[in-house]
Amino acid sequence: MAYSSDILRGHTETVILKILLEKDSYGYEITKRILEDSHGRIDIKDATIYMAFRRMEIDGLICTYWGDGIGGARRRYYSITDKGRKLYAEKLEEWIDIDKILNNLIRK
Amino acid sequence: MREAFQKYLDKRFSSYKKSKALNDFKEELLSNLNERFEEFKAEGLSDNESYKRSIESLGDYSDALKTLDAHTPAKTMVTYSKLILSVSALYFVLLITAYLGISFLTKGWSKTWLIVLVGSVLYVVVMFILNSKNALANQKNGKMRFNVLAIFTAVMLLSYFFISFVTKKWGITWLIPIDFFAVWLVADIFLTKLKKKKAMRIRISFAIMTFAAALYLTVSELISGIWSFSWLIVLGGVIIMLAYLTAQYYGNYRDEIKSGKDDD
Repeated sequence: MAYSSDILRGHTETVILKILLEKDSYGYEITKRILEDSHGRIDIKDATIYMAFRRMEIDGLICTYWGDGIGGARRRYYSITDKGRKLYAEKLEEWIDIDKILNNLIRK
Repeated sequence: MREAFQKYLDKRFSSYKKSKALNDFKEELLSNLNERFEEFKAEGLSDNESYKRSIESLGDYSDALKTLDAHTPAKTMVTYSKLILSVSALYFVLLITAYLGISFLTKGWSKTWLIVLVGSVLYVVVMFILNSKNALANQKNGKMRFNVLAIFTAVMLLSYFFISFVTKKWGITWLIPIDFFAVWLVADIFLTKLKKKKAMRIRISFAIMTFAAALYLTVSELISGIWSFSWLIVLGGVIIMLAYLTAQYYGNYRDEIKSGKDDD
């Protein structure tokens, strides 16, 4: 069953930060990764990702550079900053906490 | 397929202000669209189907586009209007000063009106050229504002020269352009409903003061001996402007208090 990408609301940035922690990446690769890691359940739109990129860049969580793409075209890569790493650590802790709370509230 | 995607992006983004940031964004989307296309083709989809699916994957990026450039079209239009306004005001003040200065010095009132005529025609021509080139004038209100301004200017010039020739009172008919300008400022407020409150406030305050000044000068010149009272008009203008601003700020204050309450 596919979920609307709305399910990621509030967590999109954290998800992107996690992916960038492993290596620099670009828009489409991140979208594919989210689809893979969610076992095909979450298909996020480019617009949502780009909105997140713009916000994160303004907040200093990621930085960007142009790299090589296919067919000699340029591709925009994103990489995580120290501020981004720090925020990810905080958000991860927060999520572990929320996960416990929701489990208690929802499970019988 | 790259060209097809480029064409598509150019078309979808054509109404947005051209900038490096916008071009970079388009290039980024372009490389993603191409990659998606190749993957759909590899899965066995047709060119057409792959193209369609790639485009669909974009989603609604209008919000993303707004973050690209701090100057949204609306804000740039206000900045442009302010610029045009101050340049116009400066130009006409200088023109009238030159006209009055030369007229008083040479006492050649019967000829110096040419300065105002040439200066005004020059102004209309330059404004026309500027506005027809400027894409902002193509916006809904931009064109109407310009047309009204053009009509106002034409009527103003005609009235000025007609009245001046008929009454021969060149020494005071210079007031006519000033009065017209003041009236246009006030009328313009109704033509351009600005979304930003601050810009609207500045515009209305400027209009009230200019209107008061124009009225003051006109009444003072036309009714002899009234200089000792006519300054009251300027005082009235200041009071109206301050009352208007106070009402505006009070409204803002109440709104903020209200939204503060809702957070509880």
